[in-house]
Amino acid sequence: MSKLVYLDHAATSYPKPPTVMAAVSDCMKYCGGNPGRGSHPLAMGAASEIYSCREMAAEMFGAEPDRVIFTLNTTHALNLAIKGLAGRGKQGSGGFHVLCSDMEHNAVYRPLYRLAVEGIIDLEVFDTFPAAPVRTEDLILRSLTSRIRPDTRMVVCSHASNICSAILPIRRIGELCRRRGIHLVVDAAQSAGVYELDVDSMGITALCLPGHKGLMGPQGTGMLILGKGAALDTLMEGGNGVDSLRGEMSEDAPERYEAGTLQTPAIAGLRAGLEFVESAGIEAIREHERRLGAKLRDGLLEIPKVTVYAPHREGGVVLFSVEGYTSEEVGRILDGEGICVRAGFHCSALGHNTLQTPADGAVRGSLGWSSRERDVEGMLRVVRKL
Amino acid sequence: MRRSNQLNQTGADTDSRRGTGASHSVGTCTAVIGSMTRAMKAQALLSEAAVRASLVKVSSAQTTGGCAYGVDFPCTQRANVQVVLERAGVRVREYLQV
Repeated sequence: MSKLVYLDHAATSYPKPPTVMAAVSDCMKYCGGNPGRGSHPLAMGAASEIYSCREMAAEMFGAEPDRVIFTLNTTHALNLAIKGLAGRGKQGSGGFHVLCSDMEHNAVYRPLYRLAVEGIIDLEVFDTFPAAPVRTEDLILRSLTSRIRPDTRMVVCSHASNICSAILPIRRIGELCRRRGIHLVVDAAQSAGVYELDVDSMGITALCLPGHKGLMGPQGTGMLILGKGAALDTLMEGGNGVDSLRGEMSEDAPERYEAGTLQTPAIAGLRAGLEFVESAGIEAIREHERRLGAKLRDGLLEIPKVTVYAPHREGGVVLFSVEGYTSEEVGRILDGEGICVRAGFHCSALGHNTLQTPADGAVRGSLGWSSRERDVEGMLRVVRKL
Repeated sequence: MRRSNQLNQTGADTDSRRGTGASHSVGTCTAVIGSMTRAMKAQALLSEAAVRASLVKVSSAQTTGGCAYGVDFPCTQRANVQVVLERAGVRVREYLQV
């Protein structure tokens, strides 16, 4: 395992900090009860573990603990946010207009597509110009603003792309949405733990993020952090330890949205991951990824047969293709050398279409906190030989 | 089973068996909140306000909807508890006196 070079952090971070693994193990040993389901010490210990993670996440993302909803992953959080807001929005009215960006992951696009097919929303895509060799904030804001209609109720967009290092100006989009009374749902799958995010000051209605990427927690963890006053329809109903004699879910967040037993050991690991990120410093992590991303991008740009997509965007996600090879062939060659990347479409048909990658997709190298210069150099050595 | 007497919003004892004018300033009171998370938030807020509060699962016999969590605190702190929780937007379903 030690010979592997892991450059797939956009999929999930690896390795996890030892404190994360210890927190999972300790929780399984000492907090084995079901949180919020009893009053015995093991149940209360599990509840305490859950709450301390909510407190840490709330502090990191500018909310309060009861606005931190645990989910299985970002996709789960996005489905809850999008369908929950759409459900509230459709009450007493017909369909409404929703905007998403041209770089969205299927975690955003597919729930929206389904709502559009069902006639609940009218979906429109705005441009984000990821390949433009200039600052794009104003262009993006103009593209978005020009598409807002009187019946626009929701904007859904990623903060940072999962296929290149393009970033959307979320704070400015949030200001726009707040002025227009539009809900803003943000997919922070690639930015949580790498960029500062503050749900209320950025005008975000629902912030959806993974626990297992930049926040260094175990897989099976994600969060939906609600903006102040935001309320959703539920995605799932069931037991949550509150008001058990009633047929309907109680209105109180977060339990309203957390039917069924939570993944306590994984959440304990996430709490340790949040502590790790706080200790390392988000700015330091971002700079580390930016520096290594630049090294990888610049190295690839020097190879004649290589095309780098969105080469002007700075960050830890680098997308490229190699003339004469399919993306999967390049991926397999790198696999064979023990270099872990991801080839194909990265669950983002919209993004690949926007970047005009080849018909078989492209190869993504993505850096993380544990990445080293020699990892990048090792990957470049293999690609140069193609 | 816990035995509690219901208090009204001003903190007055509403259990007629205790007699009019009975003081609730001694003993333990419970703020019934509902979810575990909100009860823990209440406990943290009260702790910051120097009110000693402990998390409890309220007896189902004393709630209308079934399971609920809350915080126990000294009844002498009843007014402080109400101010702290109201200011933080933590809704208390009812106050009980043990």
